[in-house]
Amino acid sequence: MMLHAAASLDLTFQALADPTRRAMVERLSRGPASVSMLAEPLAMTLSAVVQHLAVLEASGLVTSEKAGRVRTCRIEPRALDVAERWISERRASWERRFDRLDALLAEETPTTKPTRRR
Amino acid sequence: MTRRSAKHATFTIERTFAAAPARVFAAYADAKSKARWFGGPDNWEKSNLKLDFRVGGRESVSGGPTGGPVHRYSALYQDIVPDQRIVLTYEMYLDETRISVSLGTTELEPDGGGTKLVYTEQSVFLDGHDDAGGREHGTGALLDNLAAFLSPSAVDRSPA
Repeated sequence: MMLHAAASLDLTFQALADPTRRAMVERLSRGPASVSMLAEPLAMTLSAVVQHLAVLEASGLVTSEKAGRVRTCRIEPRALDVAERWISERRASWERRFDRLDALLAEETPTTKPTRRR
Repeated sequence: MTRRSAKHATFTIERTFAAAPARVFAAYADAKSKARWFGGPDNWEKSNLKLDFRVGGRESVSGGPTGGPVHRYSALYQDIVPDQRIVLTYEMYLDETRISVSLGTTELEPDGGGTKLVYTEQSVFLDGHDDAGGREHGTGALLDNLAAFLSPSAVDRSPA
């Protein structure tokens, strides 16, 4: 269960590490779209878009189905279930804390008295 | 009626800091230092951080977006080895609702002149309460957080 959640989160993060795929997910979060609709705002070939789509589908973030000649893509809400969102948020909040800690440590130099900047 | 559920999760974060373990440890042990890096986002309204840094001692802080739910953190220190290890358990509350209970382990070790820090969190997330509070579709916020997590510049590169 724990391992499964972590593995699935890895795929989610991997899928969303790319700006094109994030743009596709953002588009789909507003509603289902065909592959050509997804491709329209993107400056790339349809086959490149199909490849990005495959990564998103493998991560479980997006599902698609073909009706006639049109493939319709939609966001898979279960992939963004509340627990995974919570883990992502908790993790992101720790990353921000450590960024601040890093800044704080850089500010206090060990050889001189701590000085407050600004 | 609340639908009961308990979901388990774990994550690990590794960081290297350009400061000796004693200084990193001090940033955890001293309430004033800790308050400077530990609290929520900069735009949140926050309470003062209370810290009793000893085994059996407690720590608490609360905060939240203006007009939004209050996120309350309440911790109990379980194990402290100066400059090396801090283990605590903590609960998170959203207003009056307990949303999670976690075990947090911070390990410090010297790395050159600096410190390698490994933070492992093991949690149980209760009843599916979203700590972002009342968010209907978390996609946007998830993406924001992911972008922040992955790299600060990733946001600027994403196509509009």
